[in-house]
Amino acid sequence: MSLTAPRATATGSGDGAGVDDRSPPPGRPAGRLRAGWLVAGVVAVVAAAVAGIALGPVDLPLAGVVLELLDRLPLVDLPSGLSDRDVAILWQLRVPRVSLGLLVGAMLATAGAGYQGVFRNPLADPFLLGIAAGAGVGATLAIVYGASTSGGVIDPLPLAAFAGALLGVAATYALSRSVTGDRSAVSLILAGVAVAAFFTAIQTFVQMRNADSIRRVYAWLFGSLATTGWHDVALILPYVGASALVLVAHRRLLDVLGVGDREAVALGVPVTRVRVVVVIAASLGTAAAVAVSGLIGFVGIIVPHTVRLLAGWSYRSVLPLSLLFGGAFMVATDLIARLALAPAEVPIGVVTAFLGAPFFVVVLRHRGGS
Amino acid sequence: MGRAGHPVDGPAELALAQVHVAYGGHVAVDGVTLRVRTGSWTALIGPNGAGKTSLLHAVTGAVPATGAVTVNDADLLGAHPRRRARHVALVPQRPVIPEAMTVYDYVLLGRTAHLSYLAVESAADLAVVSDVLERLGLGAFTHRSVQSLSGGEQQRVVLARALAQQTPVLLLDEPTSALDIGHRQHVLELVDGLRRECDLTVLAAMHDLTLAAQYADRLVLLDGGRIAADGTPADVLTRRRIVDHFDADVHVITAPDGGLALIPARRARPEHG
Repeated sequence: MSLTAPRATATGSGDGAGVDDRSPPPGRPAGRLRAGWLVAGVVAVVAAAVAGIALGPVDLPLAGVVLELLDRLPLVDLPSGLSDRDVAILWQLRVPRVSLGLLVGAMLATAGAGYQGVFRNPLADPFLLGIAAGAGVGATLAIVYGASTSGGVIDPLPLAAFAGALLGVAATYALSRSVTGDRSAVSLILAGVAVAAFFTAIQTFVQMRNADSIRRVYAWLFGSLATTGWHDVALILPYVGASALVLVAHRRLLDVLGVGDREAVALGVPVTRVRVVVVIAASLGTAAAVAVSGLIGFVGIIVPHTVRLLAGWSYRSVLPLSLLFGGAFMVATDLIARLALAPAEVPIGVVTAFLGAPFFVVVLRHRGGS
Repeated sequence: MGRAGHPVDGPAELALAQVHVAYGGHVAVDGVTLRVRTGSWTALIGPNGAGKTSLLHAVTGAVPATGAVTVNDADLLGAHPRRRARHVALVPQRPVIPEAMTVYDYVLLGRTAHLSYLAVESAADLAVVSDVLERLGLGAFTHRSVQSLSGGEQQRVVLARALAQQTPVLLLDEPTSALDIGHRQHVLELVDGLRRECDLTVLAAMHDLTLAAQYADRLVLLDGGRIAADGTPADVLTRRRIVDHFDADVHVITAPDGGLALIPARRARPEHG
């Protein structure tokens, strides 16, 4: 008796050949990252960066900007024609700020994708899970009560933020599990919102007791990429780099987690170990980003979901592309923040919330019920 | 790398000794000891809530369990999930189908146990997947999303994923519950054929007692987490036992080809019309 004779169905051609010529050639996973998207991501980063460097309260000539940047490459010597003042603005203000934006945006987007993968929750994001708020408290306490950032071998600031971030994610997870019965995606987010509100209240209190200006508190609560010099970039680069590397390396495992814990274990994945590693890596990177730029929300939702819409469901695409498009997105929104009410700056968290809240509602309606 | 379905390290026997599973106070499996001989088919039967699914989850490591689970005398309970998944593969009763995942990528998940932690699939892994898809007649669906398939087709896809794991032991949890009579027969014939060809050791939780009697060499009757009977279909399927454990009245008859069949014994029908 034939083993492989299926009942004839209306659709199959029965000859075993793939019929859809939009699909990848037979024998290759549909979920893999396509080179075209990778190129698009790089182009987005470069375009956003150049725009972010050139535009601002003082507009720098575009050609001059490009030449000045290229001039920095080894073995390249191109006079850019920019004035000394413009060169100073470029290298001391613009490029550091854009670099910070790329790092922070890449980190928040990738961390968001990572949390969505391990919690199997499309609404997970460092901001909404109370992780960013926890990091904020840690960083604030370190600034107010701890050592200053200019002493010692290792700056305690990102590490204090990391401790706060871990406390935040642990509190959110424990709270959502203790609320009996409701296993939907929404319960984790509700717990995260509660934890975030609590930590933000603590942070605001500490800051107001110790700050002489409400403006600084305000700037922190809505985030800011304003930076002078390279200190902040150098501070967070190793953490963001390590975190992003670990997260992208776990892309295949996050796809496997998509079938649920029980099936994933049966397929051979050490589920708890993977969850812990990804959460720690994502929280470390998030903490570093929050430590220097404050609370910038919704990036971890907007970017990964847009990437999924465009490039597919697999984390093999979503993680690396969130890294690239997250950086570009952050620089682009920072540009809006700087230019919308120029010469005043709109806090960047306001811009991302403005874009992100409606986006969040769309995702909630589409997927939050599962 | 072996051919699709063929266990990489050769056939094996599955043995459980005093396996105990408890969820928060409730004992689901209470000291089960059984042995599934190499290349044979054992069906786990029993009323709802008897512990059949919990037992299968204990073997795959999805739920914590005490006791011993061995494949060819190699301990599985203390093993790393990846090593365990190279010895046993499960076709779950209600598989989670990630949205938009294609048949190819779904079956590719079955190769997870053969990849190291952060590794990506090799050409050999892709070849195993293609081979399995061909042999189960799923070639035409390769790039279709799993969710878009019919129940019978989806069941074959889940079976394909388990076969891509290339384990000597295949576990099935109610593989035919959601299927019509034709698809039930197709799936079971498929599994039986693969079993003979690849020398697979099969342990299947089965609702349909007649089908269990037809396909399995041995039946293990589970009730309240304990083994109530263990033997050939003829030994286990008596009218008395069915009444005692399933609260159902049946006639046990012998089919023309010698197999057993169970016919529900109805109360006398009221006169019609």
